[in-house]
Amino acid sequence: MSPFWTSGQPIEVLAAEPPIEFRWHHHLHRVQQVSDHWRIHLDWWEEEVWRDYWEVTTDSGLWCVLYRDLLADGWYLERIYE
Amino acid sequence: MSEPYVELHCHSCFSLLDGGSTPEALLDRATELEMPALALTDHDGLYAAIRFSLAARQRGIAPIIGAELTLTGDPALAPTSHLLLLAEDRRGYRNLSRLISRAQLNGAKGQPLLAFEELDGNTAGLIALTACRQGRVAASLQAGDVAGALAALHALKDLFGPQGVYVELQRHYHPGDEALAEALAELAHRAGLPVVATNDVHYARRDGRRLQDVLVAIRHNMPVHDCRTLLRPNSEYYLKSAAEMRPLFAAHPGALARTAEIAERCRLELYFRDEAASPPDTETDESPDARLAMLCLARLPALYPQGAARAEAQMRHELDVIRQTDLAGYFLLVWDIVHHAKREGIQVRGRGSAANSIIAYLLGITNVDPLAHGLLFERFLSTEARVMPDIDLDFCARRREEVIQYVYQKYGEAHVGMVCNYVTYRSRSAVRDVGKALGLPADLIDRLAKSQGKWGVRSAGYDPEEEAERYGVPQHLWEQFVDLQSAIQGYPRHLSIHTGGMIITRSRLDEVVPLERATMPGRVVVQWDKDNVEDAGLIKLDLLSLRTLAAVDECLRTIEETRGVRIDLDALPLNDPAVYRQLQRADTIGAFQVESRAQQQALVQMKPRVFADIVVEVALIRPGPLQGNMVHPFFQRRNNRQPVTYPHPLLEPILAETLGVVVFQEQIIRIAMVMGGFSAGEADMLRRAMSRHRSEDEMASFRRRFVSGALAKGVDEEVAEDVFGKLMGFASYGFCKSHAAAFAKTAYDTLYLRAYYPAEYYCAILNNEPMGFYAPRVVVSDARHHGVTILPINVNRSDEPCTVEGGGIRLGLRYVDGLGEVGAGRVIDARPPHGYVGLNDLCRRTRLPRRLVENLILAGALSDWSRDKRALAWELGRLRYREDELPIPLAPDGVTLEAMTYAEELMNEYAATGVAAEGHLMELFRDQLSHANVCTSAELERVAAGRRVRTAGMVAVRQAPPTAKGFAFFTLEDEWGMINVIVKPDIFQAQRETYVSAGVLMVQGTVQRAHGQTNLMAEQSWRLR
Repeated sequence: MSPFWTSGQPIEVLAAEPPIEFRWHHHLHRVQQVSDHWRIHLDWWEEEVWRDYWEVTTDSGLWCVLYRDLLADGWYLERIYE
Repeated sequence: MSEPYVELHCHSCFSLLDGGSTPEALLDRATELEMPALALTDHDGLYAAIRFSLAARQRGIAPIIGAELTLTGDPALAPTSHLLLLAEDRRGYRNLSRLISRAQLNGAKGQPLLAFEELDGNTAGLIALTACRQGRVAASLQAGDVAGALAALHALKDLFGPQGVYVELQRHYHPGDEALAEALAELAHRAGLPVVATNDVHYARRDGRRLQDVLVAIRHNMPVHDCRTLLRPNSEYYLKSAAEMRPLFAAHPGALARTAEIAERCRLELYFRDEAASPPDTETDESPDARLAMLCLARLPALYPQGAARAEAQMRHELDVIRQTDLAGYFLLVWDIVHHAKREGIQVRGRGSAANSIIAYLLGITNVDPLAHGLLFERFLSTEARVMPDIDLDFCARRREEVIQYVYQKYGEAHVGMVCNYVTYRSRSAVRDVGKALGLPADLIDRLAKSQGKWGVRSAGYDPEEEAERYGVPQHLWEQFVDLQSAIQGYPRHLSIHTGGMIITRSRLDEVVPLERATMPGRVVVQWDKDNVEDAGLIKLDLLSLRTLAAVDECLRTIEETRGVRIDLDALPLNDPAVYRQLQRADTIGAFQVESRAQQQALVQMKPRVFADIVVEVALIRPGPLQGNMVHPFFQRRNNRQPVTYPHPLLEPILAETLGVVVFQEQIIRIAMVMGGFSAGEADMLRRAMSRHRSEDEMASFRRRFVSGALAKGVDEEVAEDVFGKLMGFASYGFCKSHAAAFAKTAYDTLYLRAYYPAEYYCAILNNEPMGFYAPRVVVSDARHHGVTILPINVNRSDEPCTVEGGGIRLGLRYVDGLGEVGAGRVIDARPPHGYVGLNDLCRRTRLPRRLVENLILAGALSDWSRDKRALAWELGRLRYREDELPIPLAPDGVTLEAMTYAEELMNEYAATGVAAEGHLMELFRDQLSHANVCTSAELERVAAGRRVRTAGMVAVRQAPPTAKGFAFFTLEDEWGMINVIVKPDIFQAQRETYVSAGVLMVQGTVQRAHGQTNLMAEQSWRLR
C-alpha cells in the first residue's frame, strides 16, 4: 500500500529549501536525505499548479514525497512509499 | 567579483512555433541581467542572425551566432537527435550555413535532417555543445547506454577536436535532473572534455512560457489541455541570471565560467558586402568601371541630342560615385539582365529610386530622363550611406519567369537564390490559432475572427467579452486569450517566397545564408527576408511582374498585327492633349495607377496639364499622404483657394514644383542640404532614418545638426525647428519622386493607348485580368462608353482570350464559367474551317460535358443559330452525343417553349460569364426604379447639393480603409456611369449585412458636392440583388 493524497496532507515545515524537518499530525520528522527534487508549473489556462517537489527519506523511516505550493505557499505531504 | 554567465543555448520565435520570444525581447532581458554576450541558436536556421546581431550590438551585447541542428539519432533510441553548434569565426559561419542548408534540403519541407557523417569536413571554426536531453549523449545515458554515450562523445571529439566540444549541463528541476547532470559530468571527465552550463532558453521571462505552450499546441494542432505531455512541465526555460544559475550548478564548478570562455572565442561580423557578384563573362580585360563608362558614353548621343554637355557632366559625377562605392559590377549585372530581356522582346521597366540615375537611364534600365524631370541622384546612391542601391525591375507578367531562369543559368544555381518572406501572425490568424489552442468553442472563434473586421474596423457595439461569456468561456481563460492573441501578432508562422526578390553571390550561396525548400516544388529559398538581406550588405534584385506591362505588350503587338503600326513608347512626347483630357475628366478606368476611386476624385481637383502634374498625382494619392493631411492643403493651393507660401525663402526653389508642400522624399534631402547644410549622403541618411522610425536619440541628434546648420545660414531657430518638425511629420508618407516618375510614364503610356487604340487596349486589359482596380465587367462597360463595340462570345468566332474584331472586342471563351483553358482549347481545336453548323455538330465534335455546353448557350455563344436559349437548352437535354454513338436528331415534338425573357437572358449571361456583352444589369431594374423616382447617375449630377434623393446601381467598388475611421465608400455603376456613395460608420454598422452582401444597391441619401465632385451621403440602403 502506497498512500497517495491528491490534495496533499498539510504539514508544517521547519527550515525549507531543502526541507530539514516537518511536522505531520503532531509528529516531528527529520529529513535524512533528499533523493530527488523537481518542480512543476502547469495548467495556467485552468487552475494553475506550481509546486516544488521533494523526495525525501526521514529519520522516522519514511520514504515520501513532499511538495511546496509556490502559489499559496503551503507545504504538503503527497505520498508515502512502502 | 562573481563570474558572469552567458546564455549559449537560446531559441527565439524564429524557431518556428517553438520559441516564445522575439530576438529583441531576449536581448532586452539580457540587458537587464547585464549579460555581456548572448547566443541565438534557432532550430536548423539562421533566420534571425542578422536582426539579432544588429540589435545586440546596438545594446552593447556581443552576439554569438549558432543553431541547434536536427541530426539522425541512434536508431535504438530515437529517429532524431539534437546538436548545438556555435560559430567562432567566418569560416565556422560558412560551415554552419552549409550544414543547415544540407539538413534543410535533405528532407521534405519543414523536416530538416542531417546525417551524422555529413558533419565530417565541415567542422572548422565551429564549437559543438551536446544539447539537451534530445542530444545523442544525454539520450544514451538516460537509456542506460553508457558505452553508447561515451562513443558519441568520442565521435564528436574526433570531428570537432578536443577544443571544439563541450558537454552541456542543464538543470530545469525535472525528476532525475541532478543525477543526469552528474552522469554527464562524469562522462565528460572520462572523455577529457569540459562541461558548460546552459538553460535551453525558449522564452525571455518566466511568464513567456504561456505563449510557448500555445505555440507548441498550434504546432501539434491540438488544444493545450490535450497535449500536456508535449508541453514542458514547468516554467524554468527562461533567460536566467548568473545568480539564478549558480546554485543549480554548485556541484559543477567552472560550468558557468566556461560560458564566458566560449563567448570570448566567438567573434563574428555578419556583413557580406564583399559577396556582390558581377557578370562573369568579360571577354576583355577592362575593369567594370571602364566597361560601364563605355556603355554609357555610347548611348549619350542618342538620348541627349541636345544638352549633351550637361548630361555628360552628370554621368561622370555618377560614375565617380559608383567607382568609390565599388558598384560598377552591380550596374553591369542589372544592365545585362535588362539587355537580355529587351533582346528577347520582353517588356521591362526599372523603377524605384534607380530612376534618379542618369547611368540607369543611359543603360536603358529606366525610361525616365532624370535631368528633364529634376530628379536627384543622391536619393539613389551616395558615398556616405552604407546602403545598397535599390533597383526594381518590372517585367511583363507572362515572361518574367524566363528572366528568372536566365539569371539562374548565367550565374549558376549555386549562386542564385530567392529571398523569402516571413508570413506572420495578423489579428485574424492570431485569433484563430490561439483560440483553437486554448480550446475556445469553434463557433466563437469564427465569430471573433470575422468581427476583427473584414474591413479592418472593430464593429461598434460588438462586445467580444460579452459574447465569450455567452459561450460559457471562463473569465480567467478569456483574459489569457486576449493577452496571448495580442502577444503572438507579428510572430513568424512560416516562410514564403518574396515575389521576385533574388540575391546573387560571389561565393556559394549556401555559405552566405542557409537555403531551404519553398512550398513551390523544386524551388529553394534563402532564410532571410529583404530587410535582412539588405542589412547583410547583399545585392538584391527585385524582378517583379506587372500585369500592366503584359497588357501593354499585348496591346502593342495587336496594334502592329491589325494596323501595321509600330509604336515606340519610349519615343512618345509627353504632351499629348488626349492624355491630359482623360486625366482632367477623371476618365481613367483601365489606366495604370490613376484609375482608382481616390485617384479619380483627386484628378478632378488636380486637372493635370503637364507630365510633372502626373508625377505629383501618383506620389500624392496614396494612403500615406491622404492620412497625413497633405493632400487637402495641396489642392487648396492648386485651385487658388489658399496662397502658396514657403516656410522660408531658401525652400522656394525646392518646393515651388509642389506649391510649397513637401511631397517627395527628394525634397527632404534637398531641404536638409540647402537649409541644414548636410552633405548629400548625410541628407539621404536622414531621410532613411526618418522613414524607418529610428530611435528618439538618433532623431534628436539629427535635429540638432539641422538646426545648427540652419542657424549658420541665417535662418531663425524657430523656423528651423518648425521645418524639421514638418519633415519629420511627413517622412513616412513621402514618395520617391523617381519612382513616381517611372510610374507616371507607364500611366501616360496606358492613357495614350487607351485614347488612340481603345479596342486594342481594352482587349489587352481584359486578357490580363485579374489586374487593376475594377472587375472585368466594369472594364467592358467602360469600353462601350468609349464607343468600342463589344461582341458576345461566339463558338465560331471567339478565341480563348478576347480579340479585336472589326474594330470592336470579341469576348473570349475564357469568360465562360467553368470552361477553362482546356475547354476553350477543345472548342477551338475541334472547330472545322467552316465553323460548327449547329448544336449537334458542336457537341459531337467537342464532346464537352453538358453543363459547359449549357453555359455556352447561356452566354449567347450559339446565338448565330438561335437566340432562343431555352429552346437550345431543351435541345441539348435531348441530345445524346457519346463518342461511339451517332447523334440522332430528335423529331420536334411540338412543344413550344416561351423564349427566355430579356431579363432572364441577361441574368444568365452574367451568371455564365460575369460580363454582359450587350445590355447592362441595371436595365432589368430600370422600369421599377423610374417609377420609384430613383435617379440615374446622369440625373444625379444635376441634383442640387443638400437635396435628398434615391439612386441605385451595381456595386463596382466597395472600400472601408482602416484609416477611414469606420467610414465606408462605395462606387455604384449604372447604364450611364458611376455614383460615389459615402457611408458613415453608424449607418454602415446598422445595415452592415446589406452593405456587405449586396451586388446591386439602392441608396437614399443627401447629395454633397465639392470641387466638382458629387457624392451621396447614405442614410439608408436596400439590397436589390
